Amino acid sequence: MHSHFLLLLIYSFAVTLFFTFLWKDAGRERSRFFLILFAAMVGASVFVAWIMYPLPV
Amino acid sequence: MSVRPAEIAPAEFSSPGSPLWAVVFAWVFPGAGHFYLGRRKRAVLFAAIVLSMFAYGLFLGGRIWKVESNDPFSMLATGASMGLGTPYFLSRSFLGYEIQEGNIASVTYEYGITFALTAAIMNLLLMLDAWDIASGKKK
Repeated sequence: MHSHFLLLLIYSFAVTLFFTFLWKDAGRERSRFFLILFAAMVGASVFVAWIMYPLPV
Repeated sequence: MSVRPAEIAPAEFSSPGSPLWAVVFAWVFPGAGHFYLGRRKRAVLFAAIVLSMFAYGLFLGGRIWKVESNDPFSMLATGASMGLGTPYFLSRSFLGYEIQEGNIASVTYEYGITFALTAAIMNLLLMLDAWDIASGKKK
């Protein structure tokens, strides 16, 4: 598996799932927290990736 | 005479078990601390997440850390990896040399390291969480 983006999604999913069940108890609260945290992790990673894009390899 | 809510002292959550044993169990095996404290479903989920992340990290070519004299970072990484408990020591004892060293030539080598280390650090968090639950600080 060489897709960096897919690995990012898998990692974010696992970490988000972990923290959702670690910190939240109610069903609706969990769902909301999961979606927000997952989106934040993926979004922040993509954002930082683009920030680093002009840098030399 | 009625008692206003502000006059009632906040009740602590009841402690379902010994904090020390909860932490020990949590360290010995991912999720075992929560299982000991009665959070059975959550324990199984945590175990599945931590163990699958560790296994996937090795599958991606990540390494199992051990202390190396010429690499100070290895001490930190090994200490963190030991947080995984039994799976770490079983892996060090029974997995082949190639798996333990990882595949540095693989494009997913660093991902594998990240997955495996994250799994171990997650278990350290589970140990802390088990302590909080057993101490009555968390419901």
